[in-house]
Amino acid sequence: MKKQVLSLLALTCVIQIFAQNPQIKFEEYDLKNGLHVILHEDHSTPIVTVAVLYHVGSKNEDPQRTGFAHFFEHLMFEGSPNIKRGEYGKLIESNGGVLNANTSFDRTYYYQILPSNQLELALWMESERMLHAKIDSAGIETQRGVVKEELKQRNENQPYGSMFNEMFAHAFTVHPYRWTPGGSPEYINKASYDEFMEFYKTFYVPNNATLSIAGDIDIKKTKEWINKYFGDIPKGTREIPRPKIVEPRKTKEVRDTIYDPNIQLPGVFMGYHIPAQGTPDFYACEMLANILSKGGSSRINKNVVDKKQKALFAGLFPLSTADPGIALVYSICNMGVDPQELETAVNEEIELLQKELISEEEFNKVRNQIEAEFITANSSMSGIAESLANYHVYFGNANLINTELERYLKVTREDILRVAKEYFRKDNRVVLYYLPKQKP
Amino acid sequence: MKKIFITTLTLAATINLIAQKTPVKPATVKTNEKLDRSQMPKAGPAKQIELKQPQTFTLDNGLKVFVVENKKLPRVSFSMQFNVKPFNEADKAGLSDIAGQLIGTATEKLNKVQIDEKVDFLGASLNADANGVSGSCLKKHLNAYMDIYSEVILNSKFVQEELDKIKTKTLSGLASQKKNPSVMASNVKNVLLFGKNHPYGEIATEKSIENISLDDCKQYYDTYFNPAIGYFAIVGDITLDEAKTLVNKYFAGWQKKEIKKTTLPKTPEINKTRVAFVDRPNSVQSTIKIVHTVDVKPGTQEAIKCAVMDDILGGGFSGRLFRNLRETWNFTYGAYSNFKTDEYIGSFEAYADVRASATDSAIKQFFIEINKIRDEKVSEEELQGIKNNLAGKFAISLEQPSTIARLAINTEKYGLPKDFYANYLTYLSKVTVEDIQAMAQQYLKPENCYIIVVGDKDKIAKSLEKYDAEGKIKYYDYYGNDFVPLKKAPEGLTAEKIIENYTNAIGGKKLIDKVKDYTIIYTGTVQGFTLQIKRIQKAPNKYYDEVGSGMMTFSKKVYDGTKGTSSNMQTGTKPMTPEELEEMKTEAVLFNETKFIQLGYKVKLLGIDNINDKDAYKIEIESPKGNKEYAWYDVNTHLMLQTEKSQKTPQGNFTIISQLSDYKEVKGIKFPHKIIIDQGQKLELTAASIEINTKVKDDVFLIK
Repeated sequence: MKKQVLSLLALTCVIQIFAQNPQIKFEEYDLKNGLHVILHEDHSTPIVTVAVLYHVGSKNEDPQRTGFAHFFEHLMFEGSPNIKRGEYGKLIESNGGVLNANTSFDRTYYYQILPSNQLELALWMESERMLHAKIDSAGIETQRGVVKEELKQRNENQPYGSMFNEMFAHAFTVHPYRWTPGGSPEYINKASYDEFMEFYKTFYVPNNATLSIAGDIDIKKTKEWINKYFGDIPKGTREIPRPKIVEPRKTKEVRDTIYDPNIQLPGVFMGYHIPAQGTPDFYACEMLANILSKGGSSRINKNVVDKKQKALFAGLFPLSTADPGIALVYSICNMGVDPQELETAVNEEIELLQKELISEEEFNKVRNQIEAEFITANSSMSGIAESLANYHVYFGNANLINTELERYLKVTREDILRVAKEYFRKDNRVVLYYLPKQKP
Repeated sequence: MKKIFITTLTLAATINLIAQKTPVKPATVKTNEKLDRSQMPKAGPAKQIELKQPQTFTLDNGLKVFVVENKKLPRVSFSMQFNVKPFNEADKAGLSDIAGQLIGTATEKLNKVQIDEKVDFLGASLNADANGVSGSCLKKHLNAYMDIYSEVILNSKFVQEELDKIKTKTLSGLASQKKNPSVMASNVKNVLLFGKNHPYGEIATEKSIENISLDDCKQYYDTYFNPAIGYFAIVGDITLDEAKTLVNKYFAGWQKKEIKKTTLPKTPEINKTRVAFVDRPNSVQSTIKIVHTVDVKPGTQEAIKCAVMDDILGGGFSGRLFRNLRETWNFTYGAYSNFKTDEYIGSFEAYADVRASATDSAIKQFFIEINKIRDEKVSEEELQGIKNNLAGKFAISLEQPSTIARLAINTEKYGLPKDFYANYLTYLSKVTVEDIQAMAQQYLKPENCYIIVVGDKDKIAKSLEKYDAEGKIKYYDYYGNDFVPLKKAPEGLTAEKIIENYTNAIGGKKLIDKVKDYTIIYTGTVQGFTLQIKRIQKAPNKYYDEVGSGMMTFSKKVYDGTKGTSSNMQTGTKPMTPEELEEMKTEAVLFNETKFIQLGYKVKLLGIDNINDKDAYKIEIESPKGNKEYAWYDVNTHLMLQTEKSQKTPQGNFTIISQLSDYKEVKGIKFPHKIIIDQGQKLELTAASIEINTKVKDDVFLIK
């Protein structure tokens, strides 16, 4: 009896400690044209991150134009009536900043980090390309070539470089996740000026964008400038299409072998269909992934990599996607190990999670890891700006930046057992073997 | 599924409620009547960028401690770095790396599993490498964490089993890198710029990894994990007093050790521009690196000027290389340069992955840009832009409190003036357009560099000859070794045909079939004494060989067609193992090199190689068991010039290369009268006697 009371006490302690997160304060509001604004003020370093998230990714593409959203991302650096072609990056850099952008399945994200006295410049520039980006044939043709080289560099010339493409192509039959944001060179070749303009007018509108700013800012002044530069950008008039395609439940394992001329060691990659990010079961899947592959004591690292020495490295992580996506197992065979042996070793770890409840101790370890990760996640202004924008767009709640930990802590050991059984089934997965392709 | 849907709905409702409770004030400013968008906004008043100094103290054992208090997150990070001077690892290349991975896999008190469990349970991280140990933990776990952290630094234990695991992974890692174009290019760069006997030019190989012992690793740790050369940065939610207590508790009793001084060899002179090519068949892109050494020390004003020059040429979106090769020509996804200062010897490289068909044109543009920054002054505007960018990046880097510790440690390590980094922005602001040109002229060497290209030789190599000062492309392999690529053999020629030609060249099948036995004696000199090798064979498959000197016999093999013995001085006489017997099945066949196909081998013609200035067909011979050997045949005489096979021994795999020459006829059949065997060291053998059909008795092959 006494012991029980004690552990109960210990439990409350744990909860109290968990609650002591550093809070990230922010303000948010909408402009009349629908642009959502999030502001976080922090004066510790005289820098500011200005980010714009457009809620459009490769899943919004025409299946006959894969890679389009990413191609368009490149065009957004081409300038505007007031910014000469090729000057966009140079202007930010020569005023002390760094900038870049990336495109995912679900969104396109642009950011720049500058000395804080250049905030107005950054706002002007982002508003310029939201209002009237310069899209012309010279820019399109140049970027067409650049994007094709990017794809080669990432996919064709790197070991296992085609893995993501192959995995998603095998995992999805109807949902647009069946192609990846890079898309296909064939369709990059076909994308035309009219299509770009259509895309721009549909998706690159303030009511489909979130402006997220974090750093050494004066809130009042910042709002004035936002209004000045973004206030007169007209609201989009078209309906913003959001694909509602649901991938049917899987009932049969998909298995294939890919011969890759860039590799020497076989690789085993597996994709398990899992729910969308933000759902309770997704958090459980993330905890499950930690048990398997976070840290040296995680089961795959400890048993498959270290004890059995089957893999050069191996792990599992769930990809965060707005629609149901996959948890990816990646593993590269140690020299002389047959891919089948490696697959068996990984399968054994997953099967064990389906049979046995994890111990209290292992469960606490994973909770501690999640806690530490969460508390220390927001160490930079650019990280905060991106998280705030993501939480708003995907979950409609930017404050999850402070509270999402609670969702992880709701997951029980039984949940982990349950999701292991429900989603990590053999008939719910894709298995790809990558084997070296011998020279002809 | 339904449940999730409801949860999401409830959640959305909650958010709406919250939003209504705390309405956000609408922005009060009205949109300007007419905004003149052509006006680029002016910068606000620049803020002072303040470089805070860490608090420091030094222990009696020499450990220098740097504390940066930053309470933003309830976390503390630790980084203990040892100032290890580069040293030669020679035939153990990869030692530091392996030792670094081994450190922290076991300690006096804990084994690997326990260390991992403890660190993970705290949600902490701990990473050891050759230069030190770093990691972080939440503030509340400080003491529990330091118990493990200090244990790894002070009491690491070296366990053979862990070393074996690391070696296996390293060897697999090497294998997995073999076709990686950027690793290939870096290896060749390091070998060419620094030389193979310089620590920076050493490349780990399968063999050098095998050579590393547990003692080597332990010795590395004992020497370099040493407070006398240690810098300890503690950053985060911790006060100076707390840090002092912690450091004293764990590290005050740590003994320092003397370190022997090492000297580094001079790096090779580069006196002209050469093209160095690594063949990677079917590459869709070429990896280009234009490289040479530079001798500029870090933390000098000259280094700052060079960094500005380097950024103008090849930094980011505004770099000239990016704008030219990507934005004007779309040859590549990105082209950059990197001017690397170093305490001992630095390097310059300009690099890009370009589409294969544009390799030649891309190299041309690289040189146009490198020459332009040497020949023409940059504009004030371009210079100012890059200076602003570097100043901005400096400010951004200060966002991470660890930067403050890093800069203070650099100041100590390189012996810089105490206020060097505090004055960094001032130094930067003073760089002039004249400085840029002067740096470019002094340090960029388009006439004395290597153009390294990893790509498809057959498609592009020819077009690059014009960039080479001698008009000749040199080829290298993955390890940066000289490499002579094979030329294509004539269409239609097969390995089978070459073996047939060889058979005819040594005398023809008819004559060979008439040989019932032969006895061959070769002699050579090894370390001052005469070695004799005797080999007797009798049809169909009896075999005898003996290696000795005078009256002594070092080793002997006897095979009677079904069973055999092998003997040497260490083990005495033993029956042959199943592997040896398997080998004998083919080895004991007379003139087996003319009968590969009958014996079940697979043969493949690889191409035309060059052996001692003679063109030779190279053939791959694969045994039924899958072991590969190689043989070379003179294109003109059809005689066999060389063989290569690898032999498994308890010490690892050895490659044995035998060169055959001085063919002379014995009863109408040509035998090589000179053989050079190269197995790491060379042994030259000459035929002392070769006899055919002397009616060798079966007794010779008798197994006792």
